[in-house]
Amino acid sequence: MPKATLLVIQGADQGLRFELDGSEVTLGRGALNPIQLRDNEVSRTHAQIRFDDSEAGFVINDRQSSNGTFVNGEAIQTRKLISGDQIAVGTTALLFQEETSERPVRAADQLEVFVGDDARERSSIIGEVSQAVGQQLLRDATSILKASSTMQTLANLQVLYRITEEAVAPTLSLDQLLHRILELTIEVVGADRGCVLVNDPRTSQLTPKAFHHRRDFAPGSPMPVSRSIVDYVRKKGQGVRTSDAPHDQRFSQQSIMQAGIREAMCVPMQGRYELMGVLYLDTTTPSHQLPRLGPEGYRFTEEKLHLLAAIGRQTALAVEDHRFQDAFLRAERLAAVGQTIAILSHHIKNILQGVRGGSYLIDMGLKQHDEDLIGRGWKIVEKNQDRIYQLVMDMLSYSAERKPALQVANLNDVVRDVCELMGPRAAECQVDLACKLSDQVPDSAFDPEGIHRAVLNLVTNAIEAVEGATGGRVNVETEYDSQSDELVVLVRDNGPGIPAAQQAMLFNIFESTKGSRGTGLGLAVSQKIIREHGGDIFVESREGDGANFRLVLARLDEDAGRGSLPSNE
Amino acid sequence: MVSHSPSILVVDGLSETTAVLKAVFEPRGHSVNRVRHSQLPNSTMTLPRVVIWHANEPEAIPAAEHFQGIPRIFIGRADCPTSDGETQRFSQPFEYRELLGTIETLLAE
Repeated sequence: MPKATLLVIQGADQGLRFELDGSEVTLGRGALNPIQLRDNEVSRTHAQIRFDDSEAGFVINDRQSSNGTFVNGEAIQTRKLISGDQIAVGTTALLFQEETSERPVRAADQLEVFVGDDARERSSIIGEVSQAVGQQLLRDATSILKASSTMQTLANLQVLYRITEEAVAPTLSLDQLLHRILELTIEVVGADRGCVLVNDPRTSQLTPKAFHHRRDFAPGSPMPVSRSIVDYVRKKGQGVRTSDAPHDQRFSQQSIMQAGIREAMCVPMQGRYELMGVLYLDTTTPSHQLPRLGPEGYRFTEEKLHLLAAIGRQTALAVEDHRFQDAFLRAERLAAVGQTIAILSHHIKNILQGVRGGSYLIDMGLKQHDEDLIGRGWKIVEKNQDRIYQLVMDMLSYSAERKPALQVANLNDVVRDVCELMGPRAAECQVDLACKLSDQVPDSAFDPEGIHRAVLNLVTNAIEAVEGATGGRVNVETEYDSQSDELVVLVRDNGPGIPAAQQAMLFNIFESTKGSRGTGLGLAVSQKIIREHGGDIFVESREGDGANFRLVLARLDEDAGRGSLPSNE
Repeated sequence: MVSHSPSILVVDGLSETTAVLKAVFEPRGHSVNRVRHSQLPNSTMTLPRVVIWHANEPEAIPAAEHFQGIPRIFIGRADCPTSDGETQRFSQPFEYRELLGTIETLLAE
């Protein structure tokens, strides 16, 4: 089955990744879309993506959206998607990435690096260019534009602009980025093929990272790369151009001779701090087959060497940035994993402590034949069983990309269940829990289990906020806003309130205002569930004046529960 | 003049700790109460004989000065300082047998 992913690279859902398995999916802001986007500029059902056998690829269709669907900046009705395409809907941008079942082609398998005689090779280099030329090319652009070679300079700038744009575009891997840059370079320079060798920071060896050839060029055997040229470029930090390879002593090696290299260029990829690698291009097409040669009779001119030097510089900066982002991401991920383990361990430790307390009383009761003590101990064990169950359910709710199991139900029933469930806990904490359900609340399609969990977390928090305080009170209410066609659950407490500074972080995972008693999962889970329903949770609180949580859900038509989609707008 | 009653005060932490202490010590005539550190100091509160203080949050500890001179047991993280003459320290997960033994010793002093 074909597979692909859509990564949100811009918008409120930035960082979310959706998996496509080839079946038809819709994207839009409506809760029933498998790809649901929190973007008011996106129509409820904005576009559709499916795998099209006749196109042998994924195809996107605009579903008469208000603001249109764009692929790589172009408005489309229908478009076959290719890896790296950027889809823009509303203010959201998504990166399309197709997973290929074919074994990825390794650049190293398509290159053959030969060792040659250094002295002889240098004798054949007909052009050298300093690495600063690339930067100079950009700096002098304005003055050159006024001079006679305006057209060529303009063309060079266009190429560099495209390369730069590619370098800063979101890509999933460095190999992809280098391949795309190489593809563009070969196209504009007019080479038959090329490769990028990147410096491995661990071994300091140049490693083949990308290989590409012209569309109408049959590569046949692996591309021969002269190790001596590469080493020369690396050592001197200068770009080189060679031509007339058949008469060049450097290419006396039989394999290179057989490969029929006619011209070659190699430039350093000089980063901000170090050499990141080299860019190597060659051409094997005999001159009589070339429709038009440059002024010097070569395809690879001095002008092109300068251009390639500038491309080398841009590529190096892109590699550097990519590595920095990669390192940053890895560090963040490690920190997040560490934080997750620490917080969960702490919470599990609390539960274990509770279980130990209960077990101790049971043990004591058994020794003393005291049933009351056994009962008290068992109650503690049961309570901690429930805590670990809730913790596991919260973790599952948060981690899994679960889809709401929509069915027609009444919100009052769910909220009533939560209040009944939490009644004994509220009594134990000497908290007055009041439940007021509006008879105006209509039936709606939602996931009752999910909403139950979301409301349960809010009510649990509210009870814990007033636990132990004199006159602790929690009010749970339902409402229906007929104007906006929304269902509302209000959870109010008269506890100490939430300081303004904490409110901004309240829904962040593992942010808890309850100190050692909180997991920091509850509110994050509730928010996730409600957002999966296309709703949201709002909080109003002043320090010392309690907290009001307002959970808002769009009412969905009854037929939504049977799988149909709501109207577009 | 503040009087001492035969009581144990639990500040913060798990309600289970209080439940166990109640089950064990109340039949022996000791009262066990639980409060939040944010509700301290409370001038109307009768001073307890032993304070059990859950101090995972370091900022909670200064309020313990309210109980100067009263035997204290801190229950906190594994990196809490070790016990000294005035204060006993436990890190979670601890054995209730050890905690109860320590309280019994302090009550007997």
